[in-house]
Amino acid sequence: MESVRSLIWVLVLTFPAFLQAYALSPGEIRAEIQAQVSQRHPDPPSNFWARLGPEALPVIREMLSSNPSLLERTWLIEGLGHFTDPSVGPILESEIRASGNAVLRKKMISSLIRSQGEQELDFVTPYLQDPDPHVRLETAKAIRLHMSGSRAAGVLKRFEESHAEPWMKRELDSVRPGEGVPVKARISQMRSTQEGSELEPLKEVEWVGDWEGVWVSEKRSGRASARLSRTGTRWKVELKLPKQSKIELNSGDLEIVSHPSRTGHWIEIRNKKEDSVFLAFRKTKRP
Amino acid sequence: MRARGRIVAWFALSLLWVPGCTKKSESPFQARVLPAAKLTEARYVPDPAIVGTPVSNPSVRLTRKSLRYTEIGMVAFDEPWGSRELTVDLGHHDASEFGPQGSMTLFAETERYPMEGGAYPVLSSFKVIEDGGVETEYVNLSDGCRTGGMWRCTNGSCTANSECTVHAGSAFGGRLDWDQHQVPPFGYATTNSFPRCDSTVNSWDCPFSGGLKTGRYRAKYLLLSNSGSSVTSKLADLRIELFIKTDSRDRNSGAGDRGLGVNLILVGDRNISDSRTDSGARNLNLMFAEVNRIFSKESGAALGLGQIKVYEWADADGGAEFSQVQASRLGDLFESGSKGVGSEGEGERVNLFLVSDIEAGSRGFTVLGLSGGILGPPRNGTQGSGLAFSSFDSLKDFNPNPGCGMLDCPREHQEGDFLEMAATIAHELGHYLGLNHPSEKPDPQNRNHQDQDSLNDTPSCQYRIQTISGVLDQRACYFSDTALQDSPLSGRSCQQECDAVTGGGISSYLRRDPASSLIDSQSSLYSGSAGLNGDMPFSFCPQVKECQFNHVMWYTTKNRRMDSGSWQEDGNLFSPQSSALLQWSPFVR
Repeated sequence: MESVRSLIWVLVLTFPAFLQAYALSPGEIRAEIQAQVSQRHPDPPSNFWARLGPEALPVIREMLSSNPSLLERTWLIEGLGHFTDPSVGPILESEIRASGNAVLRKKMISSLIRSQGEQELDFVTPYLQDPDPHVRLETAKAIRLHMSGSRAAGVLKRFEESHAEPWMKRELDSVRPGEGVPVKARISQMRSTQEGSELEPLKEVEWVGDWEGVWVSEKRSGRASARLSRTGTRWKVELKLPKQSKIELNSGDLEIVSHPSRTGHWIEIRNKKEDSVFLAFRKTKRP
Repeated sequence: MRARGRIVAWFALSLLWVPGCTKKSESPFQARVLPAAKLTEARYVPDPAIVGTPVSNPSVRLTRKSLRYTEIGMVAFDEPWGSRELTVDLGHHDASEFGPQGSMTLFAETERYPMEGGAYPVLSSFKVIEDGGVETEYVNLSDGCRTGGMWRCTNGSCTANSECTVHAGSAFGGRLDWDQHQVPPFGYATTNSFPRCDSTVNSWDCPFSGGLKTGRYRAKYLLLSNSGSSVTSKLADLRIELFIKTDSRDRNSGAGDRGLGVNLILVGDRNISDSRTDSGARNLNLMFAEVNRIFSKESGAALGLGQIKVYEWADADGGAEFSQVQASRLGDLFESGSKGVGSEGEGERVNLFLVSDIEAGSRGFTVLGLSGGILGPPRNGTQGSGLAFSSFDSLKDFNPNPGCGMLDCPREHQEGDFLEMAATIAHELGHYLGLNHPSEKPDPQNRNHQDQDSLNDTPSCQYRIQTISGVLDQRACYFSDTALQDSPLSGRSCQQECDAVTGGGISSYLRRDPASSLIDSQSSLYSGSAGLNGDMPFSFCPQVKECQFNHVMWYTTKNRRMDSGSWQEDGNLFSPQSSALLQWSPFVR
């Protein structure tokens, strides 16, 4: 029994490494992308880009830099939008500025907003007045889908009042506001005064799993558990509160923060809409 | 969901989403009618010196007749039919009206549908009663269709009723083949054409031989409602347009012997302004020349392009809404745009819509082209009346090679992207005239299920599993066994036949590097530099008919590579049965 338990611990502790060992090679990633691009009537598997893994980003960049066909270029641009890596922003911004092709410009703006979210609002706002109506529309749709702040709402309102034709308004109405806003997730950079004594912050992949802790709102509190999972860049939280069935949270109203301490890691899941917080701690063995 | 379900339904009707199920409306319903697009005659006029002289044969005639039936009962998707089929008398016809290559095409449309959604007029019987009294039924359905309905539906998702099948000896090669003509991808109008096979060209267990017979023709229709709720007490009207094509010449009687007319509709200001530039007009000429080359020479179909009429659909006239279009809105593009063309040339010219971008769903990827149906309607003004292809806003920018002149450009100087656009038009025209992909990719819901077309002179190809996806590519088809294929296929595999041409070069390449795909659309393919597949043999055996990737209707884009100043590429072939199907079309004359 003990040996089985040990084996399980070995598997748990080495899980990220296990995943890494089975990551796709650049050649496999490239072949997967090309197989999708070449289909005349494509219907890629769900979460296709996420399933390629973070290793796909350098492959996509390399493929984009090698003067691909127009069709392949549109796919690669779309693919970039599925990665939140900060390096995606400057690449797309520079391509957008240089592009004289409205079809590609439209796709790049959409990918940029999907990838980098709210922080690109200032960059993309001028494209709401682009000479091409589809660039204007796609920019507005992406803002509506992937941004939820009041500034973005103001920009969209002005667009609808002054630069949107009736058919654009109809198309824009079909987009559910904020649906594509990813759960905000960041790793705390806070350090204690005893610098060097706390553990290294957890990687995001290590947040995945079950956390036992407490849940606090203005009127109630109690023990609770949360299950975190991630698909691509999107987080999902299943929260089990006292005497309640499981609640699934996957909207942009969440903020997840992880703090390292000397003995383990804290995770804080803040539901801004309900004004409540889930707080949990995991003891971590020092390496 | 609707769009995806309907597009998938082109290729695999084993699972069908019934869009109307969740929206029931019992209040008086105003059917949605799209206005006709305001089209104007284009400034661009095709240059016959580059495109080729338009082909048409005055001995081919098309006559049409309209039939209307009022207040007909309907059935829901999963309801047994009972006695609700309507028998339609199509009249007495002499075999000489058709000639050996003539055909009868039935276009059917439900009118005054009383709810939201629509009803498909499903053809459940097509028979001839010869003057001597002999009856031949060309649509042999099992009793399960009438006693159990066509579909089994749960929560709006329907699967084919396995008790409802198409018997051998029918004009349709099987249930899927029949379904495709009864439940089209866009709109509700259905198109069926006969003959669909010929036993003299080794088709499936085919009831046709030597053209349509003399006798009285009768059809049965069923109005299949997609509204989800019971339609027991509901009534609608049925309108049928009957197109009789007379063609007395032999099949494939010579290159350029029959012509295929087209309307080109330039959608949006960008495509219009590009067409008015020298390079844009040159590229349109070259595009038609390449389509003409594929149909008239390379494919073996001996079809030349017929009359080409060109229209403009400006942004200010509604073109802006459709110049970059979601695939789910193509039905509206086809309906509104083809209404703008009007009835002139209806059934004689296929509508080609040149848009800047076709986006599939919300995921933003571009589709090169889509057809309004597999056998598109010979009528304008329907949701399936045309095909669309993407220019990427590059019409005037294609072919910048210094070897290209202002008016013409040798094929070896044309870009791969550009040649692929022309190949896409040929492919989508193939769909519009009634052809499927020889093999489909696996059903995403059930990887063990993979559809093949009903023609037994096209190779069958099994998909292969890559790391994430099940894919159908050149590599997958290279090793497929075609031993069961009839003449003119040799019974040997693509690999055996291609190795005989290339000296085994491709086989050894593929075996050495199993991770790489035959497809390398990196710059290497279009510029001629080495790229990742630099050691791949240059020849792809384009004339080997056992290789499915040499068929015009092959599932993926073409493999193409520049070497020593000329294109090395997959072939663009039609099998004899594919060619026969094309030539029965009313559009081919």
